[in-house]
Amino acid sequence: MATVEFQSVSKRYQPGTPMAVIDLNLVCQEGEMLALLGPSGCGKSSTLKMAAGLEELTEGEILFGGVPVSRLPAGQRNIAMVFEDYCLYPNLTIAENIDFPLSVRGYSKAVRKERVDEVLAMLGLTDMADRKVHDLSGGAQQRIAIGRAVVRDPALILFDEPLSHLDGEQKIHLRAEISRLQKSRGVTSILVTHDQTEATAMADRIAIMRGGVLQQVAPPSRLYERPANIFVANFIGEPPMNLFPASVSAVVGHIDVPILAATIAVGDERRRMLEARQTRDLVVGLRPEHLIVETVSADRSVNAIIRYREPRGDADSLVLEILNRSGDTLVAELPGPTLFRAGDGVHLRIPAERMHLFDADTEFNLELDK
Amino acid sequence: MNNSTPLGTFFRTAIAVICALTILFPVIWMVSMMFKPADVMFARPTQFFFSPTLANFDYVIAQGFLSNLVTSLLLGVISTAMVVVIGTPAAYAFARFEMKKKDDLFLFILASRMAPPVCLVIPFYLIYAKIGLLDTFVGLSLAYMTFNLSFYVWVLRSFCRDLPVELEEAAILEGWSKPQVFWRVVFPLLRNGIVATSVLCFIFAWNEFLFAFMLGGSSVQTLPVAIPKLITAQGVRWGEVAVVGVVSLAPVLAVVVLLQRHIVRGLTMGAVKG
Repeated sequence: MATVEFQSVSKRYQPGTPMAVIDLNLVCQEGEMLALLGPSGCGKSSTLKMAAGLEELTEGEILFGGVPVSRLPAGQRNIAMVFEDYCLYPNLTIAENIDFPLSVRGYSKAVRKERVDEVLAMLGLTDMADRKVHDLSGGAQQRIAIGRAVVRDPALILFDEPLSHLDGEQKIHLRAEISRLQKSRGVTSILVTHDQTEATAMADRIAIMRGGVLQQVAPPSRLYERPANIFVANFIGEPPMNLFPASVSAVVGHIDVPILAATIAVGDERRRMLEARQTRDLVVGLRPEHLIVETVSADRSVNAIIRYREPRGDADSLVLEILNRSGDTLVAELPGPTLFRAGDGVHLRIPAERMHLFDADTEFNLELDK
Repeated sequence: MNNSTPLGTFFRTAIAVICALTILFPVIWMVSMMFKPADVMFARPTQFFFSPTLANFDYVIAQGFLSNLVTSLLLGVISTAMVVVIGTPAAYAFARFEMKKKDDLFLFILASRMAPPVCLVIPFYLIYAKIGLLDTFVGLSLAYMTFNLSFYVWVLRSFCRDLPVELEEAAILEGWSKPQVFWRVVFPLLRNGIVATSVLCFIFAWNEFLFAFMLGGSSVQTLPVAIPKLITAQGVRWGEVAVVGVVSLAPVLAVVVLLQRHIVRGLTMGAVKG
């Protein structure tokens, strides 16, 4: 078991091409499950491959338990990897696939049998041990791949989009199983995924990347409550956060929100913060579940019309068009099922305390250190 | 159209039989000629029933065609084996490794296959004459190898590309070296592709006439080159030509039938993704 530390790691695949990873500083604690999350091309897979030793570092150093490993070949780093498309050897049986890492490393027959039997029992695959792997379902294949990863008790397991090819039910099942195995064995793990639900469900902390640059590292709840910048705010949460421009108002302690044609009071603390930072142009973020939708007009409410309703059983997503000149839309999420229908006129209110305030120029959250 | 009426079935079967017969007729004709005595060979009307003779075989054997057969077989097998040994790692390297001007190099390799063989046989002849490879078995098998290698590398590269790179990465993480990964992971998975492609190489070498004729001379004679021996001053010995023709066909058919499973899988795999 070990911590994994990335120190100023950069990666460029070919001279003249853009950097895949730029000056990455990141620590994965011992026994932790750290998720690398981001859209495709954000550098998360490159980061994983550098940790694995499958790609060389252009700059920087990676430390396992304080020891530099960037010059160490992949085979000597004591890591295991679980791949997106399972990557089992089709010509071997289930037991042989799990045994593979042990046999390659020359463990004794007795040890191999004991370890393989233990892993088979743990995965509930003892009865199927001698079957070939190619006609098994994706979920079953991925479980075997996970078995192959843990059988050797590696210092670090790297999960490269392990659930991407699975359907809904298998996904949820395997998500729980990976978490359970990872926690019970206490093995340090890095999970690469583009699926925020997966990352939120499995990871202790999530590192969000974009264009090779680390945006924020935090536990899932912190990412949701206090996103570091507009990108993270937009990326985390489903449906994504509403973002609209605003500016500091001439009225002290207020901000002007053009799309609502409203001036909103922000409170004393925020007023001081805005004054201290001398910010003028803002972007306001509001999560769909925090938007208040009412059928009766109230003080400071805004008229809107429901353009589209997406019923999701326990919740309804509403796409709302604000009745102003430009036809701006906001998304609201209400505990469902609601009685709203497309075409209904409603009144919106924005709870000031739920707003996230970002600097329009730097895109940073103005209240990050709170 | 109703598929199940007996009449429909009858017609479709009839059409299939006619097509098959049209394609197979020359082969059937050749096989029957093989056993025909000379006096009924071109008898009019055609005699489909006759007392078969093995006289044609005797003449062919007496003319030393057995050694031509052995030469052809050896040339095909040895040149193809060399192609597999050299071409498989080359195809893998083209599919996997980063190198400068890879695509240009690849096209250059392919170019030798695009030129008409006639253009290449003259330089081959001149070079071979200089270095003493003319009329030698080694020379001819090298020529076939170079010719087939480009084709083989070209086809097998697409097979290599279709293999998930993660299979190799998984093995590298367990501490295997690149050569180990190649021989123990990649090679077994490429088996279908290798079989399908090398069969085509073998068939090419087996059927080839121009290079064998120009470079083999009189000392290394393959079957296709030897057939003109049957055009004698007394006329063409058609029965014997048929014997050699059928014998030439046999190994190709045998290889295709024996390895059918691999070839179909290999060809479709390459064809879809190629």
